[in-house]
Amino acid sequence: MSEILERKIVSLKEMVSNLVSIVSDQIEKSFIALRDRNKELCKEIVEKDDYIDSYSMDLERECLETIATQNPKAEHLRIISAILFANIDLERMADHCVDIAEITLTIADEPLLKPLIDLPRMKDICIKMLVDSLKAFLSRNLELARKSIDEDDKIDDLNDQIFRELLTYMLEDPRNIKRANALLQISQHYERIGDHATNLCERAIYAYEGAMIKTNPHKPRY
Amino acid sequence: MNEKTIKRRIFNNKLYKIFVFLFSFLSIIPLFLIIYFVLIRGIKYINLKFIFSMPKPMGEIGGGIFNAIVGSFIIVGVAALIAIPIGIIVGVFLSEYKEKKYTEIVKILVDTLQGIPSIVIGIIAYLWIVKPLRQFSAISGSIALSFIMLPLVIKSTEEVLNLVPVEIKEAAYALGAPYHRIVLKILLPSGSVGILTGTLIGISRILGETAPLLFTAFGNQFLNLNLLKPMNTIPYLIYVYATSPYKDWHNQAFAASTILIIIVLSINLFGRFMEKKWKM
Amino acid sequence: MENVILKIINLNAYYGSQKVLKNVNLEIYENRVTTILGPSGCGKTTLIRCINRLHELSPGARIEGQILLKGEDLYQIEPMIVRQKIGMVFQKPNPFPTMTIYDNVIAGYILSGIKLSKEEKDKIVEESLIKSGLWDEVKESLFKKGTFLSGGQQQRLCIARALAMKPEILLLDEPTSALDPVATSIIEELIIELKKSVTTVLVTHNIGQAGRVSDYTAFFYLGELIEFGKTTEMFTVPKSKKTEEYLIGKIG
Repeated sequence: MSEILERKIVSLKEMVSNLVSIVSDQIEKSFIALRDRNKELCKEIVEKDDYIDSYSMDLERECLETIATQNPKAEHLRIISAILFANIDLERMADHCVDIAEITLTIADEPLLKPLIDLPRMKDICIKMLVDSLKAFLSRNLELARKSIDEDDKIDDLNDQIFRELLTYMLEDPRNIKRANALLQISQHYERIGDHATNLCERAIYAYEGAMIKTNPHKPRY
Repeated sequence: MNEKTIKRRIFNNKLYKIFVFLFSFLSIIPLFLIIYFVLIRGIKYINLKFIFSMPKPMGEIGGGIFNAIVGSFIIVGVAALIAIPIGIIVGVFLSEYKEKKYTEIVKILVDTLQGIPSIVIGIIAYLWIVKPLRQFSAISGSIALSFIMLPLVIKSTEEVLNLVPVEIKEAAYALGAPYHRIVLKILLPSGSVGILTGTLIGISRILGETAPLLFTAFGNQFLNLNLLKPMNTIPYLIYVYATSPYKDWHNQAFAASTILIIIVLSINLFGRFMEKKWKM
Repeated sequence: MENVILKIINLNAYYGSQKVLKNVNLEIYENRVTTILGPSGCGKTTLIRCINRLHELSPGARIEGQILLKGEDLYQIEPMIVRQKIGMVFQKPNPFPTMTIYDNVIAGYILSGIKLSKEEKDKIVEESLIKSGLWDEVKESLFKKGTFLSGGQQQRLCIARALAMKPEILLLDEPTSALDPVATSIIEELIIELKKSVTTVLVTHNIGQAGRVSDYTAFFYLGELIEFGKTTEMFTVPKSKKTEEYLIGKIG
């Protein structure tokens, strides 16, 4: 009886891995589109999101059907539950990428306000957290999951840094406001992506330990 | 108060137990007395000569009961050959068609047959067979005895087949078996123990029936193997010898009775033994 | 694309004047496990007994309508032939008590008077017992009577007995209700394994079992077919309110 269930869980893990891979791709592309002011790439990112939404719905349906017909208990149930919730976070992360692309489209015709230094760092940490959370989930590496959660602090710090820097630019010259504001928003989207990635790590830990750790997503800023 | 009730109950319990043992013991006593009485008087006359030699003419001392023993086996054997197949078929019918009105009628008839006194059956056999053939014959005796044995075989067949779980029959039907095969290969084998027991009870019953034989097989001084002629049997011999004026014949009657009792007991024990063996 | 192997058309089944199945229309797909699901008294056992024509053996039983196996009307041919094409396993394991395990497996042939050579018999016995997962446990005691086996083993023997006839369809009437959980799960895995070689129709009121083993489910209530569909769909988004109520335990 549990053989079918085990096979179903393997298949669900494959699906979530695919989703992670597509989403991390979107995150990378969203930065490149910004850096190169590539309007074509922005449109690609937006279109790809339809596919992501449909894939995410399929994953949800498969999870529910497995629960309805196979009666998973204990760890099996927690793993499927973790996948169900991760599905939501991944879909939101993909939405943030779409938002970043749409913001990029509004400033793509103007030159970059400043060389991008902190934003790529944020983006890299986001992708690393995402990939590590999946690795931790698939290989039951709870240490990795916990370390990954800590990385989120770096993203928050970088977000603060960007905010202070862009504030300076805006105060310097009112013509900078439009581009600075766009970069500000993009930075916040990456920060939210980091928060979602934190959720993924927490779900991975829950699946195997059965305990939910809830970390405070926002460090106090003031 | 409670303690008193309990004490009274325990006493009552013991009292009942004593009564049960007492009465069952009392009911066995006549049986033991009969066997003892017969055995005492008969056993000293039993020897190989007695069993294997022919009776001497009336008035002469000595002789044996060989022709009676052979005759009993033949007549009872033929009766069984008649009663067993018919009995099994009717038993199967009664068990399989319980709901039909016709079955009710047959059941009543079988019960009635069982209740008819054996002497009446003997008279009927006389009217139907002996008179038309114009002579006494072993076959008429067998037919009369088969009437007596028939209800016993029918009843035990029917009862044991009723015990076969309906799931077994359904399994056989579900495999696509025709009805006659289900009866032959599933029902009868499942009920074989009960059918055998019924047969053995029937045989030991008719071995001792005397009244019908008075009008049918009659008796014969000589050894006869022809079914169409009169044949001697152990119960008939006992009847004739016991009511005769000769003391020697009285003794032989007791001896023959002892032999009859031994045969009947052996058949019963054999039946028990086979029952146990089948259950393995 | 699914192949229809059995078609039930406008089936009404009666015991005397009491109608127990009302206008049932159902298609069974080849090499799939279809569960007939429903509370006690909903007519599911009657339905499969109509398929293998066991229903008509009950006093006062009759049907209206048609049942077609690969296009052939089952009520136009000899019932015995129908039952040889369609095997059945019952709720209470019922191996024949007077036969050895060996004979039990080929009982279908013995009872139908079909003669087989020793090699043919040996082959069928071994294949059927392997298919029902019992071979290893009984291969040393083929000529003992089957009554010493455990409940689960007896039931697998009954499955082997049904499979030996190489039926087109295997009907299982609540096959695990009388068994313990371990025996139950062995037989559930067996059912899934068997669908590669035989179409299976399973009757049960156990929703969990229906979910675990079946590809399609037909939900019956008070003699009517309420809903039919893929098990995964019916269990997540049932189309009928009655189905939903049964699945969540409100009725039945």
